[in-house]
Amino acid sequence: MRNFAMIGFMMAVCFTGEYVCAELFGTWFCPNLLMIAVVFFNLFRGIRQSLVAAFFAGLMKDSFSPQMFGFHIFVFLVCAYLTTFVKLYVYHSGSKESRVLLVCVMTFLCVMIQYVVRVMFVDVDFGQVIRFILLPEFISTAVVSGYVLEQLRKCALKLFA
Amino acid sequence: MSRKRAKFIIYALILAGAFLLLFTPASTVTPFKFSVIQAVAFPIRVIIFPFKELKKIVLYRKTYNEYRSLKYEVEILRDRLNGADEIVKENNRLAKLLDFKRKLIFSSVSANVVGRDPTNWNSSVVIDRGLEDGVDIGMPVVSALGVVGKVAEVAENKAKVVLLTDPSFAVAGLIKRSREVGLVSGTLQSKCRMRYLSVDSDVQVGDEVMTSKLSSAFPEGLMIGKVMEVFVDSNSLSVLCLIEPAVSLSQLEEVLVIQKR
Repeated sequence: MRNFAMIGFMMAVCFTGEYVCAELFGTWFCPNLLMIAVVFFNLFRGIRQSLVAAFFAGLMKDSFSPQMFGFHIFVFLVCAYLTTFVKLYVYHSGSKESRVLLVCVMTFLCVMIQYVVRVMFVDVDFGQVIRFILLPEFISTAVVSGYVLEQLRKCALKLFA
Repeated sequence: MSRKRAKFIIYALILAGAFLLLFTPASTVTPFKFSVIQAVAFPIRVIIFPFKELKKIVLYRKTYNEYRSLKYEVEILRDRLNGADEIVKENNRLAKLLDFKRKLIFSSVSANVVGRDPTNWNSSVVIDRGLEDGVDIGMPVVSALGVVGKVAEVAENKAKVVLLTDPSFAVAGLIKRSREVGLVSGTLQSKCRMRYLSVDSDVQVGDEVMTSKLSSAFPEGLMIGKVMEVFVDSNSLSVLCLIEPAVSLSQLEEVLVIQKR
């Protein structure tokens, strides 16, 4: 139970970080901090805690979004599962670069999954998704992921001690 | 059953459960969504406050220029109003003559923006008025400069407004100069587009776009924005316009919800 509360707290902090970035920099600097956190929990705490993190991430995004409830929960849960498979090919234990690469791959997949699910309900232009969603999100997430993963590791060491 | 297989089934069930959540009726989850917003929004507002104030200081030049242009506009409008005074008096006399009962056309409620969707996929804000204040789903939301959006979800004392730039938003629009009618909807680039204009329609960059009387939700004549670019779609033989919204949606702080006609 304590672990659940700690994961919820860390996800709330990441969501606040995303919110602050969106308020300050608008659409052009919008790192997917929640995705970084989901990947972090998958790498350092295992699939179960990653699923809990994905649930909290989706819950917070769904609450603020006008989309149908469960959309982000579903997308983040799929990403949490996919991380387990992708890390087998991308991640090398102890390598910081491979962690960043894994985050980048998962950010790309997260946008693509969102596009596929969204296109079932709304008319979305793929060109605009690449230009206005994928590129800003991918670049800004890649830029901050090394730092954020390190901070999350420090935070987890204290909270889960 | 092996342990590995049992694990796989549990994971598959979790995913299926999450997928089924997509089909939950909106009315059952709305109170839950707003309770999460209630819990998260206050700490976020406290944290974001100094950043917002800092942003205002950094953008002071833009605000000052806006203030100057609005002041200039007020002077022009005041001049016009003086000229129109005589016409208003004449109109009043005629109205009395016809025993015309004047009444307010719209009633509205003012609201503060207390949260927004931080993703690039959607454009929506949370306002601090809800069912208790007479706000309901589908009500138009405006600001002094023009159309803001439409109420999408409502709780007791909060509501979610889908903004003009959200891909799921749509309203019938009218080019003020040429009276051409089309459908205005949001895009992913924080702008709007106007579709279904015939290929020979008279549209130019800089034309003002307003709400049309064909719109069921919005009153006629509210400012939507200005045409930025005009494209001719050769496939569908129609003209498509990119519109810059009149309202600066990223700096929205107060709005008006129009309650009834």
